[in-house]
Amino acid sequence: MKLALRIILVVVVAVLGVWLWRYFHPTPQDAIRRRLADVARAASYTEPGGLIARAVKAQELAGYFAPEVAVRIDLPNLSRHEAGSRDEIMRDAMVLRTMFRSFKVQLLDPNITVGADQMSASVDLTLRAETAGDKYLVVQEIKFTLRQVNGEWIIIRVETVRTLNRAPTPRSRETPALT
Amino acid sequence: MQTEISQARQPSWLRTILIGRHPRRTLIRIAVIVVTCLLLRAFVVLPILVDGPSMLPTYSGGVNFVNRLAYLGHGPRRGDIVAIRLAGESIMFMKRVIGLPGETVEFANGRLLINGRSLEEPYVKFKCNWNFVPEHSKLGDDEYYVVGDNRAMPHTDHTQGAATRERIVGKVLL
Repeated sequence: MKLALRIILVVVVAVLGVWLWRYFHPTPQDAIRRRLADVARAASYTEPGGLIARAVKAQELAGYFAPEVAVRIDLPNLSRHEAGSRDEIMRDAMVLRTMFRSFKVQLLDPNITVGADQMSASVDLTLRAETAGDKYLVVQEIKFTLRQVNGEWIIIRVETVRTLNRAPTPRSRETPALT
Repeated sequence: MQTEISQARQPSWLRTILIGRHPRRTLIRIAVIVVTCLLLRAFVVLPILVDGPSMLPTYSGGVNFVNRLAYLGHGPRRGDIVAIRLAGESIMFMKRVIGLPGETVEFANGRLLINGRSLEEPYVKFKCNWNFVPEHSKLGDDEYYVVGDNRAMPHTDHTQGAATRERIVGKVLL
C-alpha cells in the first residue's frame, strides 16, 4: 500500500508540475484557448449595468479585436451582422446591453490551427449565445482568425461556417403569377 | 481476549459501504469501470440531451444515445435519425436523413420530392406547405440531406440542409 501511495504521489506531483509549466509557458493553442475564454467572459453579462459600466465592458470586449477587424456573421433565422472596426464592436456591445437584461456567450469545441509562422491562427468553434430565460438562443459554427501582436493574440476576422450546405431557396412556383 | 481483538480489526459499516471490504479490489473495479465508460463514450455510444422543437413530435426532449458504430458497414439510410456535429460534439443537430448522395431533393406543397418523385413520410405528423428547392439541389457524392420532423415550422426557421458524411457522428439509438 505504501508503494501505491508513493506512485500516486509521484503522479500527482508530475501532473501538477506539467500544469504549472504549461500555465507559465503556454503553447500558442493554450494561449488562444485562454484568449477565447476571456472573449466569452467579456461578452457575457448578468446585468447590463450603468452607462459607464457598459462603456467599460464594451471597451474591454473591443480590446480583444484588431483595430481594423472584419466581422461578418450570418445568424440562423436572425440577421446578418457586420462590423469593421473596434469602435463598431464597442457600439454593438453597448446596444446589446440595452437590449437584453443578461447575455451568456460560450465558445465551445475550439479547433485551433496555428500557422507555420506561429504568428497567425484560425479557430473553428461553436458559438452558443443565450439571453435571459432562453428568449433567444443562437447556436452557430464560427471561424475566428487571429494574429499575434506584441505577444497577444488579437482577433482579425470573424465569419460564419455553414454546418449544413445547400440552404433552401424558394421554388419558382412560389412567385405569384401575374395574370 | 481474542474475540475483542478481532472485533477491533473489523472495518466499520461506513468504511465497508464506501470502499468495500477489500479497498485494493474496489480501487481496481472503479478504475476498470471509469476506463470502460470513457472508451464506450469515445468510440461506441455517446449520451445526448435532446432539446428544441425541430424533431417534434418524434422527440421533444430528454436523454438519448448516439450509436457511433451504426455506419461502419454502410452509410446513413433514408429515414435514419442522426446526430450531426458542429465544430465538435458539445452541441449537435439531431435530424432525419431524407436525401442520399446523388439525389435531388425538393419540397412542393409540403410534399418531399426525391429525384422528382413524391415520397411518403409517415413520421411527419405536422403537415406543411413548404415549397423550395435547395441550392444546387443535387446532392454531392458525400452529402446527405437532413431535416427535422417538425414541418409545422416555416422552412426559413428550420435548420436543414446537406451534411457531409464526416459530420454525421452516428445514428440516434432510442
